[in-house]
Amino acid sequence: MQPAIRTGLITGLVLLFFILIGVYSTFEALTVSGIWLTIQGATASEIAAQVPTSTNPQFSRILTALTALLVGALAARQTTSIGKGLASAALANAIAGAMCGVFLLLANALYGANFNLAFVFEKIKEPTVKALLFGQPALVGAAIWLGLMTVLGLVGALLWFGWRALNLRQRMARPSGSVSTRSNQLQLAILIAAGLFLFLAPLFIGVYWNQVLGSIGLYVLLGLGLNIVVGFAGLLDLGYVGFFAIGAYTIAVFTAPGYPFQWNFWIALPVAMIAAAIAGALLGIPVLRLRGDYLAIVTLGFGEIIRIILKFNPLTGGPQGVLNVGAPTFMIPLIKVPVGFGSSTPFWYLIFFACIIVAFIAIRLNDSRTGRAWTAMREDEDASEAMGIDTTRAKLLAFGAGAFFAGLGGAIYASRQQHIFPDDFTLLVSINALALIIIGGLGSIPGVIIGSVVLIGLPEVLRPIADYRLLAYSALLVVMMLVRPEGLIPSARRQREFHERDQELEAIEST
Amino acid sequence: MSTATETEHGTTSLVAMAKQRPLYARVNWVAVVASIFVLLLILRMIQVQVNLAQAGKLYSLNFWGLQIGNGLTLGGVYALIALGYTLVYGILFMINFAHGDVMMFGAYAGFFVLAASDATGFTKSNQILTIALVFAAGMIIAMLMGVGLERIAYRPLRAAPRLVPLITAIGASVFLEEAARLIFGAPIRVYTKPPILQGAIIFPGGIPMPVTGAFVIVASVIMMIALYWLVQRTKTGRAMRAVATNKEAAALMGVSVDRVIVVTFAIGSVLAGAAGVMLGFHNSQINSTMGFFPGIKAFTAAVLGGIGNIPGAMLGGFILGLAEALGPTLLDIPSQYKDVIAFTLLVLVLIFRPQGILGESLGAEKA
Repeated sequence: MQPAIRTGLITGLVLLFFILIGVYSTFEALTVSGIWLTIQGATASEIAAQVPTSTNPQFSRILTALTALLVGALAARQTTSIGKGLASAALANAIAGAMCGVFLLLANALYGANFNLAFVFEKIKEPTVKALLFGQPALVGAAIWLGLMTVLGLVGALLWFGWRALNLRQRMARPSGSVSTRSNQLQLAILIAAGLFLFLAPLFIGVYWNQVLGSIGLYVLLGLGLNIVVGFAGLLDLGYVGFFAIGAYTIAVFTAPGYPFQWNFWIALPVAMIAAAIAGALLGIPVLRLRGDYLAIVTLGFGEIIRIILKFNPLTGGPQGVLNVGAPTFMIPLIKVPVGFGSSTPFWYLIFFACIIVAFIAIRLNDSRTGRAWTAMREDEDASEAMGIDTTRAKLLAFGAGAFFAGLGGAIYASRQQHIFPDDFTLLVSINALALIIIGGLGSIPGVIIGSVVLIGLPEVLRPIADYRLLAYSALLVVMMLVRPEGLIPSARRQREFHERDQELEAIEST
Repeated sequence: MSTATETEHGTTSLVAMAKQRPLYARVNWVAVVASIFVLLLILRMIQVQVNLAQAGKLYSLNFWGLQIGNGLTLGGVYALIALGYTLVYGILFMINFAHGDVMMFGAYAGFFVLAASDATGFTKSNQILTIALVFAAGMIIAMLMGVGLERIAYRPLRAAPRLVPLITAIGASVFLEEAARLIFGAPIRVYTKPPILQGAIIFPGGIPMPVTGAFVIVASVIMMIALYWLVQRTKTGRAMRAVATNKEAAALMGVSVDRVIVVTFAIGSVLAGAAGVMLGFHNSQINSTMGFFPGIKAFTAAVLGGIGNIPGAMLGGFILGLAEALGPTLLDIPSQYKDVIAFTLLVLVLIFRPQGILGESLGAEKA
């Protein structure tokens, strides 16, 4: 019974945390019809006009119910017999339900005694408490929590037992053997199809999704660059946004009106990339001889410092930023008329090709002599140094390459946004990029793409709860590191590295 | 231990032999450039003072006294936070990025106790007791946060590759910051100072100092002495030092390593909680992002003094506080850039003396 009590307490705490951060008050803005309209490309105001604003807590209730089912299944999983499983699932969820019930009773009593709980916990307003008690008298509401959670726990346990029964039969029927060559061909076919789809996509997906696709592409670009630093070389760079900002501001200063240069985008682009790479090298030189922790905190500080300098520096427009950054133009060969990048479609192609080029460079780099040096250094720095690898040089190369591609991303971003402000370049960008490469799988290029589709694309659909984005990403970072450090689509080598110790332990146990 | 050192020396000399290159390649250009930079900074300071003297506008002694007082106050807070970094680093060799956010939670806990005490009129009648309660709340909540963080996020990863706990730590830091923003709300909360912490003390020579400043300095120094006594003179402290020196050997000698690590996190977080409440009283305002820069700066202080070294963290904290308070005036730059000063100092320390002022030369394992 002890594991069940533990599970129950943890679940209770998680649900209380959900209540405290306002999942039950904010998520009500999230409705099925609203999401459907978003997918069709409606703007926020259009959705607000079409979807009634009446509170409709379907998602928070679904979320709670799913949590309860999951916890029931988990509690049942820890036991052997069905009877015990049902009992511990019911117990775990009853504890969690009781914790929520008691909290709501307390909250209700405090509001009854004219204590404004919202002063402490901003999201727990009186109507929220009433709604969470199902509009019933407090004790009845709390009892509903307890009862409903217990029942859901039982259902979850039953579902688990049912699934296990099915799964056992399936496992017996599953043929063994490898299908790797076929899956390789399949992978290639999927890759080509996806590439074609993405190439033609802007023609039929509409303006809104075009924008979203562009954002996803930009983050793929950033992720590919950061992947070189974190995934290939194993250096934690938390100031990635700093190089992104340097790229963006360089191109802004060289192309925007109001500065003496007003160069063509294509001339300013390499300058921006080189500026970012130089900044990366300058920052890296003092730190790279030391161990990785120093690099992490120095880059973390650097990212914020760059923002402060940009914000209080009259040269870069201060808090007002730089307006009207130049857009790329193309000369059509015969008629010699420059064609500007007016809409988001040409920018999508720019991003698309940039991604392909960077992905190609990243793959080739990883397979090159330098790439092998990175791998060796990542796995054991002392051993690699003893084998004659100049680790400082290898680190500097990785760091510079990462910054170089961040500069490219920044330049395209600035040109696409037209106006840039210092507060576009917060730590959020670094965390986004880091989260997406870790979710996808460190060192894995398909992982970067999947990661940015999930982490950048999904929030666009779930716009009403955008406020929870950073919280969710940071939680994902921790959970992924605890549960699956190699990511969703791991590179084969990283997977083995992360599980080296497990395999050693298994080997010891089996002997 | 001695064999390990010998092999270390062996590797270094081999590497050194492999690196026998011409003179121009052996000069540490980074250090040369950094030295020129430092020289320019010093020249700039002299130039600023000469200009001021020519214009007859030299700052008064009062002004400098006030600035030094500010610096020491900030330094006390940084030192307290830095101790948490140093203790954890000394034992686990990891940077607890979330330490600054633990401090922020301490500040919030203190704030709510203070607000409750103000609302009930308790503050007016029992000022000293109120302050003690505010500190107790901040320290206890911070301790719970720190210990919980260790249990949930760090302990399962103790054997993982180095990158993994680092990423977890940064994730935990952002998570705590965002959770505080969502739970307590984004607006700034205002600490109302109890009457005995209001006003200023006038030191001989007419140098004023806010009462909170003096209070912070005294309280932080007392806590540091208590910590030093705890680490050097008690059984727990001896266990901590043993684990810091060699985990396996300590475990063989009957020290419970897990327990020592929990105690270390608890002590570090208690000090951070106290620092959070002090910042609240001194600056009068707190919000969910208040942990970020003090966190980075306290880390700088820990590195400056020699990471893993307790007196070093205290010294580093005070030096950094003074640099930050006096720097903008000495260099005549806008005070918005004061965060840049700490960062520059960190980079310079890492170039010239990565082991810190009081740190011994660290082996490859720690450096």
